[in-house]
Amino acid sequence: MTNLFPFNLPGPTVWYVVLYVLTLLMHALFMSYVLAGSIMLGVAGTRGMLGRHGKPSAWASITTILKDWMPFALSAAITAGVAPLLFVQILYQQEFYTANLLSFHRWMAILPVLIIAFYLLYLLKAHRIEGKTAIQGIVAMVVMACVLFVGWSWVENHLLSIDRAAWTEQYKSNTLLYTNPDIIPRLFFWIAAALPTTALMLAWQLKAGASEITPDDAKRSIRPLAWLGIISLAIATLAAMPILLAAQPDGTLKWNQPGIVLWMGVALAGAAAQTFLWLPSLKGKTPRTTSLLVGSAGLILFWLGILATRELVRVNALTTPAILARHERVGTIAGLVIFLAFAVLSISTIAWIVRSVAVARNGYVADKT
Amino acid sequence: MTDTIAPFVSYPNNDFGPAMKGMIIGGLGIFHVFLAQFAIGGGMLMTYFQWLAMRGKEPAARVVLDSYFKYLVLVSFVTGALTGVAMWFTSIQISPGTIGKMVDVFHWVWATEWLFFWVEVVAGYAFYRYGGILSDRTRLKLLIVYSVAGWGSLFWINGILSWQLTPGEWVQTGNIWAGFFNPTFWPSLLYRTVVCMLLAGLVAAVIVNTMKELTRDDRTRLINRVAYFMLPMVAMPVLGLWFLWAMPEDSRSWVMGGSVAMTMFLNIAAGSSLLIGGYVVIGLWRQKLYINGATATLLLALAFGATAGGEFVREGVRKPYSIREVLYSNSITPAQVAHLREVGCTTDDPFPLRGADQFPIPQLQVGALTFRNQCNVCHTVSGVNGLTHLMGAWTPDQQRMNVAKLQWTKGFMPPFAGTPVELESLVQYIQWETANRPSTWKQSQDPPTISQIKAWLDEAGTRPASAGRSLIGSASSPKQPIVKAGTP
Repeated sequence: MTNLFPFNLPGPTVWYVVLYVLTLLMHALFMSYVLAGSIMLGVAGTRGMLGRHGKPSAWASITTILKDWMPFALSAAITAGVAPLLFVQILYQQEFYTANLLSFHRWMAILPVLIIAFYLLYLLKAHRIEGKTAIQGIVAMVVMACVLFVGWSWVENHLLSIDRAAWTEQYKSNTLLYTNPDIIPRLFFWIAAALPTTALMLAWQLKAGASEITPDDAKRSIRPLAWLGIISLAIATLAAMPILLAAQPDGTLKWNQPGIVLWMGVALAGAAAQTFLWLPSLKGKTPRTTSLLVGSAGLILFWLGILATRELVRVNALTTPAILARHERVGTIAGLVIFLAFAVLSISTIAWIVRSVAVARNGYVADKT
Repeated sequence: MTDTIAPFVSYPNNDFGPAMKGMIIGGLGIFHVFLAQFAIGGGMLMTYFQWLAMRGKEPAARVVLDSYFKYLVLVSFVTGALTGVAMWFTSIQISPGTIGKMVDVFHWVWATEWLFFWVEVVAGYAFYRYGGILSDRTRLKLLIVYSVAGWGSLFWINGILSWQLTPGEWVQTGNIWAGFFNPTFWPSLLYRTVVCMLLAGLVAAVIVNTMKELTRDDRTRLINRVAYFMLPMVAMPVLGLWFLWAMPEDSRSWVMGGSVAMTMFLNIAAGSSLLIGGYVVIGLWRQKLYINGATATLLLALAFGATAGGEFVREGVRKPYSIREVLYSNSITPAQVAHLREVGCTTDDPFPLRGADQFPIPQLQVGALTFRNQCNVCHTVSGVNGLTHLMGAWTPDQQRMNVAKLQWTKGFMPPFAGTPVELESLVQYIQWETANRPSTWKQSQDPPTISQIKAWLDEAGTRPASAGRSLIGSASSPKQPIVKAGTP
């Protein structure tokens, strides 16, 4: 069952699992930026570091970029989340729907909470509260609380969806809170994995001079990012252990089975590539584009390994002949060609937009200097 | 391809208290549709304004463009996108069977729509953030991309939504494109496109009035330009009639007087549109009048009313189906009705009754479960559209017969899908609720009563009223295939 996952599964299931994992990976990158970014802003807020004028600090550039880009990152995370949300309904429809229904209002609360977080992020970058440390701190902390609530809700929903044995009692008890000892470790792991992701994305932004950060300020900020990247990668690796060891309580899946070893190996290779990127920056050295590319490739592998392992555990827990038969039936439905054709068109259009903006921005910066 | 009787998947069923489930999804749906249509029309209007500014036809257009876009981004990017996701989540809460079927059939269409979202978000954000440093030509191209992507998302979702009412030849062939380009696809798409333009124009009229940097002359000229942009709304009556003509005959009969609520809401939508149209065409376009912020806001509120009325009608005319000929509102398929008449709708429900100890006898528990599985999606017990209000005053026999012949009692109701014993339990449950839940209740299992219910059920048959009276009882055998659909 676990050898060469997911290619050991029937064709249609492989197809949907691959699409799910790849689109979830895209979501995970933006989600990480939002999750870790909100925590970084929230912590900066508690320490009165937001809105303060005065001498530039290593973190000032980072919080400036985060404040500037978080609203877009949240939009992108939500947009990117639509596709995995679609494919999860194909793969595990009954399980996903049941978990949604069992959590009811509590689950649905993520929607208004996300809207609140989004508008507060705009408030955070508004000129009106610039320099008002206390207000900015409170706003940042509320955003952090909102994002953490959403993260917790997703973890809870995922675990409830694979815990079929708990459904009847959960419904009967009429409680909207699903308790499971795995929730906290998993949430902790997501946060730990989000931090190095965000650190790397911030390194790219510093290199590109995002939010009008000067090269000097960017150089000052790279060292704390490197520390953040390395330490959080180590924590994420450690945090993954208890989750892996408890992969399947009924003993049908253990951490040392080939599929898990393979994908965790991929994740660890990705973590190693990122560490390689960060090591020179511990001394304050600005990473080269090549190093950033290697680190980014490592980041993709890191997430691919994590998400494939997560999926392997879920497939092992949930897949029945009836579910596989359902995938086969759904897999016969037309529309894939249209999707692929528009995927090419959309990617080309987005590439054109990015290029047009980059050319215009470079010209603007050159004119200014 | 013949449909075998698919297993009835039981989901945990939540109670929204006195609120009808339809109110929840309807309220959110109206809000989402209003925002999303504004965002789509907004893109088109900005493209028009950019063109005006580039050609030197209207210098003030650029000022509005840069101001207007911020509102558009702030409103549509997350509130619009999130309410779209919220529609999915709410649909799961209300009718998981329906949304599951829609996702199964149209997942590639939805995936394609997702690509359009991406283009919309990237183009929109690029314009929002870098519009000031882009050349006019690039700005125009970017806005065209944004508009096409926005309208494209409407194109895709419109196919899915109109399929629910008129699935067309998909029912026989299983060809999703036959279902997508269904009889109401084009009138619905064109009508919605005009609404998008109208909403964007009205919002622009409000925003222009808030901009102190514009002179009165600037505002007048801009509003007259906006009036041109809104002119396609003269086609709305024709498009509306086309939609009416394309919808199934029984659905049309609900809005033409068969259902007073649907007729009333259609009239609200039509009346509001007529008032707005009259103002736009005669006042703004012909007489070139100025519109102040208060009046523009009032017209926008009327447009919201029209949207609400239109969406209510769109949802309502599908009854008794959530997907015509495939799935009833309560997520039971026509093929399952006959089967459930034999085995019961409560037998295989794995989810227990909440608060079961409050019921004095087991029969009432069965009645409450029957209500939960068959009625709860559209009715409450004693709240909005409550069964105690609708049926409480009837005699027990009247209740039994009307429920047994439900699709003939009201044409927009699905046939009852349970055993005679479950039907009797439901009747007892309604009576018990009507009597304010007394602590004792007499069991009712009189064999002649059950036999009479069985006779009424057989007489009613398992087909919906739209199939016609000549078919009564012709499909009562669970072995007979009812629906053909080449889909899961």
